[in-house]
Amino acid sequence: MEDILEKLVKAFGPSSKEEKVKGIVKEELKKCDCEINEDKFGNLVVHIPHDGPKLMLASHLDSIGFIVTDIDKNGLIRFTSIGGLRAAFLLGSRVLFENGIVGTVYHDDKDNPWEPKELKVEKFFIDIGAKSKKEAQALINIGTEGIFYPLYSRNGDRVISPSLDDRSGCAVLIELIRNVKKKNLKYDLYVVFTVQEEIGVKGARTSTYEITPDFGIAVDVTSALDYTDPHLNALELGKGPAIKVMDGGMITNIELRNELIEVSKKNKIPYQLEVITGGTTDAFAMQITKEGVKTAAVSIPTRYIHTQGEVVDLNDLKNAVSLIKSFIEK
Amino acid sequence: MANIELIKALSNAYGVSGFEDEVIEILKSEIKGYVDSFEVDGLKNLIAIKNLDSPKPKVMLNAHMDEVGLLVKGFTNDGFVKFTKVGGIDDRVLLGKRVVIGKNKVKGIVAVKPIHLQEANERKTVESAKDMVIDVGAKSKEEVQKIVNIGDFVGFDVSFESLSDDTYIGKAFDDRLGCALVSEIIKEKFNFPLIGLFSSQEEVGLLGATVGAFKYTPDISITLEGTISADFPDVSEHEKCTTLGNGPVITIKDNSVITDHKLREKLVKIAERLKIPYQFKQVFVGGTDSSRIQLTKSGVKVLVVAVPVRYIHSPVSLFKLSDYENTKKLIIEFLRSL
Repeated sequence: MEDILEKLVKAFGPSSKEEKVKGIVKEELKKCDCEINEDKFGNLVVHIPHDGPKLMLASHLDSIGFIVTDIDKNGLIRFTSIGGLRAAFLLGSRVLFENGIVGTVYHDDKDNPWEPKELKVEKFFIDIGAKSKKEAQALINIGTEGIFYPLYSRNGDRVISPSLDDRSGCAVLIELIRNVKKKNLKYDLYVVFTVQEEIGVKGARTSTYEITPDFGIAVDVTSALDYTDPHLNALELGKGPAIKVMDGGMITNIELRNELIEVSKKNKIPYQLEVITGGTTDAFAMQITKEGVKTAAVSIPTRYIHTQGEVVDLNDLKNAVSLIKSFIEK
Repeated sequence: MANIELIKALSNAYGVSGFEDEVIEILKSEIKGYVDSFEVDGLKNLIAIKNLDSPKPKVMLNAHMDEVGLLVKGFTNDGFVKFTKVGGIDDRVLLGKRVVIGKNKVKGIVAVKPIHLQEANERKTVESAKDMVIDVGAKSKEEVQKIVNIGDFVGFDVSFESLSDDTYIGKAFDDRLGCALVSEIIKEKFNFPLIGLFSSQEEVGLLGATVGAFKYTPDISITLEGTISADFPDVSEHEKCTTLGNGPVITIKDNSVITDHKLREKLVKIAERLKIPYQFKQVFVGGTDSSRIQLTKSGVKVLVVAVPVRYIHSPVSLFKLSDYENTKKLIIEFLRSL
């Protein structure tokens, strides 16, 4: 599981450029007894046909990122965000472009060169070490995408890395598919690795339309604010996967949520309940597609989401696999 | 050559979001005989259909018919008209402007306090739109209510004009230039199914396009726009967005969509091969119908191409005909390559 997660977070895959991450998922599932297809929107759909209602599981392949908007006469690069980059956490971070070029993020506040006052993406630029516009243009163009340089580190159970949102969910679902016992399945199982979640939960909309599941569960990260005292929410690292009750976009289906809770209790799998007010996941789009889908969500508690140093606890990922496996098997 | 008379008629027509009827009539008479059929759906989208039985790919060309404007919301006791904004308009551009109200085109002016009577602090700030009124020359509430109704649209009283052979000014170039382009292009001969989606209510939340691609869902959709150009003094290089005269604007990303990488690369290759100038949109803002068309059913590959226009969302805007011509040429060549 750790190995898969490391491979996934090191892959280049900002929204709309998920090919490399898809490649890893396919490679990891090569030996599985399942049908793997890419749909016309680019989602990777894994189908394990079986009797029973249709269940769709989803985690998103894409990460947030950078995209070049202009290159100035000195070869410095202006950019904007793909998805929700957080301006206050950008300065000094390293950006990796698809072709391997690396840059550092700095600011143009002439009046406050040491500690900039205005933390806005429009005031920042990326220096890739080019000496001129011409030199920069040979390497980078308007529209070239970048990601946080994927610096991965592990200390015991905990992993620090960018893109744990939502490669954690992808790792959980890969591990699940590898371990599920087909003969025990209660559902006709679809596992969708979605694209373009970070720019408007897009892939989940089109794939849910195509599959029309009876039930849906999204696996994504959620903000654990356990570093404050008192805690700003009830989510803590290492205390188990979170069963979502509510987020900024939805309230999950009560029956499905209660079933997940029952399964956790019965199998002695630690879990937490999640109520947050901001952000949402693929579950939001699944729930309101066509005539509606009963949808739940399982979240990996994560610190410092959408920064270069997101933190998760590997036990939460492992327990998420156990929880969903127990849910889908007889 | 561009059909200037069509651009002029479309620019002069009134079509504040929800009131697209005049634009629909112009477009219908323009494309009649060149398409197999057209229909107006429940949201007042005009959908034109051509070669539906031909082999794929099914292609959609999209432009929105509505323009930003105002809407009458009430009256003052002394006979002035209160209004609300429809779509994104900068309050500063409203004061002192000539407007027309409703089907009967009642003329009026957005009232402004003479500078002589303004206090020093009033000169430094702009009154907000909700405090402004329109003067139609009525003396009382009773009198104004005889000629204006609550719910009437208010449009800018601006006529299409040329400043030179290549430069034109007028209102609503966002997105009547797109409407003109779609009408002109749909008249050409192609051997694949082509759907023209002239959408309604784009300026109030991409509403027409949310449902407009459902019935005839394409494989590929191209949204044609009149887009922001801020290539005037005091705007730093990286914030100009687009530049007039530099050719069609190809969107890589805006606030609502990342366009299809492969199709966009193909479009750029065609422009380079035919030496058609082009530019990328350099500030990734704004939202377009393409984002809604993209998510119809199981998904649609989308592109956004635009004519750069200065002063959009204000009473009068400005564009260069060469940009329009090059956009038309690029799209036709792209379609022929499919």
